[in-house]
Amino acid sequence: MLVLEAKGLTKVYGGRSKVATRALNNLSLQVEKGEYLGIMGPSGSGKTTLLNLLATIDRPTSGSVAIEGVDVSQLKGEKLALFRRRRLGFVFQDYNLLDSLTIGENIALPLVLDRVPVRTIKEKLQVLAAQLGIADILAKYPYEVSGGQQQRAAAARAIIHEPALILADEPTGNLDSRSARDLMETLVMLNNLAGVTIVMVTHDAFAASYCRRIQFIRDGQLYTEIRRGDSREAFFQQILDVLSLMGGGRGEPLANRG
Amino acid sequence: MSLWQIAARNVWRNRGRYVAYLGSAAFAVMVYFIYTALALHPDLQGGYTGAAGVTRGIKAAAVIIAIVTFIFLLTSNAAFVRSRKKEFGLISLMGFGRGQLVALVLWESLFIAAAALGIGLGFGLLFLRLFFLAISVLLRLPEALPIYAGPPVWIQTLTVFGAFFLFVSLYSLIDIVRSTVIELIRADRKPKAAPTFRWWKAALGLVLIVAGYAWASSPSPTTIIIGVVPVTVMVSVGTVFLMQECGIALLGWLRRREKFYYRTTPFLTISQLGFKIQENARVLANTAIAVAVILTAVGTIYATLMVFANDTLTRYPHAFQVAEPAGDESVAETVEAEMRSQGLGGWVRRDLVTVKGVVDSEVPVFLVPYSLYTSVDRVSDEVQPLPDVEEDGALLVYPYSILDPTTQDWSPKPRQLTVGNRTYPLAVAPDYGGLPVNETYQTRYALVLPDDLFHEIVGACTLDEQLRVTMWDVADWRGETVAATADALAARFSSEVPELGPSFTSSVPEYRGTISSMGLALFVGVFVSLVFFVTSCSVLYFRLFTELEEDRRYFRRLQELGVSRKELRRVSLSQTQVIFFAPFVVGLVHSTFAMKALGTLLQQSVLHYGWLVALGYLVLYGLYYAVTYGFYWRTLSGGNARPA
Repeated sequence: MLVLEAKGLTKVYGGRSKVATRALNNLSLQVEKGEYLGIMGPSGSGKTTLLNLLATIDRPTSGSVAIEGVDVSQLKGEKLALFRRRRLGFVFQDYNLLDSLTIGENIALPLVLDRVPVRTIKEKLQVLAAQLGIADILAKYPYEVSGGQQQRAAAARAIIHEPALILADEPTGNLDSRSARDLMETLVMLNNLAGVTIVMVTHDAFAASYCRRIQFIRDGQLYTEIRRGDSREAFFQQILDVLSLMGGGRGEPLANRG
Repeated sequence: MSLWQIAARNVWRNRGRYVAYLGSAAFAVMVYFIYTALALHPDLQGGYTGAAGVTRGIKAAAVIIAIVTFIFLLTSNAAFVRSRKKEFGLISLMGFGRGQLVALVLWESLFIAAAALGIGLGFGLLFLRLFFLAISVLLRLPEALPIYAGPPVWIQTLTVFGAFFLFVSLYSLIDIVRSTVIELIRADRKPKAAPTFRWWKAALGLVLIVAGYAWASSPSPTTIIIGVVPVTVMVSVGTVFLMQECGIALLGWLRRREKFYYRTTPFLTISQLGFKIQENARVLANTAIAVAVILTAVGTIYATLMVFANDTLTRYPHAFQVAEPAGDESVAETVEAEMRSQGLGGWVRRDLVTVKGVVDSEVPVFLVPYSLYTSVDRVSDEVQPLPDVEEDGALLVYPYSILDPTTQDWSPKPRQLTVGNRTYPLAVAPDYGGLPVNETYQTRYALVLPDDLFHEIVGACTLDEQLRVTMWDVADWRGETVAATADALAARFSSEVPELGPSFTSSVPEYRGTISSMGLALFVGVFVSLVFFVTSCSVLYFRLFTELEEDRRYFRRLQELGVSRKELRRVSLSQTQVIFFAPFVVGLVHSTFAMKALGTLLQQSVLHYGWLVALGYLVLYGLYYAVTYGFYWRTLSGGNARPA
């Protein structure tokens, strides 16, 4: 079953007055249910623009995005906000936890917004926190815990309301290598156990090697696609090869951590 | 681009932040300028009677304005500098020397100061005429005060406020110059402390406030007068402690009520409010105190005015009264004809034939029968019985009320009444509930006698000694028709020689006269309060705006997570309302206790005057909030969910 279908996405920045930049050019993308898709590409390739369009935060100049068969480009205002918080989960590079809420409250936020009864919230929170190994920091505030813990809390928040799709934007960008590995293993676990569909944009070849499939883009267009076999190490090497072939990444270290 | 140009651009680009600051400073300059012009007005320097008191009052008001403005400038400037530390850090990083940084800040201050002084003095000049007119009316000057704004007024205003601005900007520089570049740049990254409840602070605050309230509620006027300063200090300090701790405790309690808390608006509002209250506790407490001061000051002036005005009714209980020698032809018909021609009707008329006497050969009195005493509407509703003693009992009614009835000796004393050449021994008790007849013919006291004794004394007098007193009471005696009638009648009877012809008296002009003379104090006080109001509200305004960037980030994040604009608006509304109206409520409670204490001093409840002032203030406050919130929401919600 298709969870996400993007057709002919084009995004042009700058209007009549400025010089127009074509960030995305007629890009199409399909994601099946239960997939773990990585999107890679050099700086300026249009990764972030693509993610913003998929996240319904930005609108395409032309083309459409359908999530679970709903054309989100047609949704507006209140309905769009409602759709976003019910069907999408987000993991950002800078965690995007709210400083004024405790870790537990941050994770519970999507359920609170959806008027879920307190008891259900608490139950789900306990189960999920135990799964992600953050049960003992639920009462703390974000700045009282480490970056890795914050990002795992953000992952928990992204999935607690069982969305159709999790969108991750450079989730390992601010993490040290150990925390990055922990987070990636967590995402894989969620993907395997709960069958959560994940689309992750990243620079980090190591992080990307946890994906099942990687879509490379360059200059706003699809460049190539690779699928993982059995070995993650081999997949990692494969990614590095594509990156060096693409060449656009010369300015960036291969395992750029933001 | 030179330094001053950068400074000018900085000010212009930060105008959203500066507008309230500038507006308040300019308003303070305006009022100060006008008050100084009044205080230094040559025509008020002893030219008119009572003018010295007026200029002294206005000078005091100007000093208060200066002090309030100074504190305001100091606190708000500190807040500005704090919010711009990162900017200063970046400038230093780019190679600005300390000297250049100082120069930049000084240039900026100069522009702000020049703008505030320019606007303030401009509007001051504009409204000077209006102000002078109002003052002339209130002082009942024969003609309007001529416009005066001589060099001393300008020099004084410019020196005082120029010095303030200079000092404040130099003072704010100390902090910048002392910090290292990295401290400046990192200033806004300091994590905020989680809201914590400190019970000892809460307990101390509670004790101070409760003790203060208890002291203010004391029934003894002497205790209250001793308490004015200590209670003010206690309650102020208590407010600072309690505002923060109580706020945090309350929010913590709400947070534990999970059924209530785990819903969108409370969830997002309460969690962030805890931090906001912790961060702004001092400002909120100061605002609460300012509100209390404003409400109490205006309430006190207003209540005193009304009480003094009502006190005139102690001496003038009747709307109209004519006293005349009993042998003359009555002018009562003339009075009633005038009343009818003014459209008055439905009055209550009382007739009395009486004589004047002297108590203990020193106090001239009107004799009044007990039946009249009980039937007249006096200031006090209490009717005393005649002293029940062996000789004849009588009541001596004083033309004033007293502060503390507990200190009074109410027991009847033996005294001697002399009428003509006859004397009567009496047992006389005092009465402070207000005269039963208007004071007239320079007789200010009344002696209430048993009806039979009264008739016996009056009957023993000759027609020449007797006086005929006619009294009229009307329902709506504060109305304009009654005032016009009173003026017409006073004009008609004024030419008569008082000791011989009819003497006309009325409660209306006395009442109105008191109101207009106290009105001046109210007028001056209200403008001082307005300066207070504007400055304290502005502090709230730019606290809101210093946190704007942070709130914006917060709201952006929520938007990304799918919180709708409508929900965001609800959250921001409830947050800002708490920030604005919590201090108002606290201030109102404080001032209620102050008004209660004032009531004890004035021997009557003045709470309703306090409520009336609070209501008026609430309207102003609400307006200020609405405008501030409008700006805030527009800036907060502007732009997309995430800059692409």
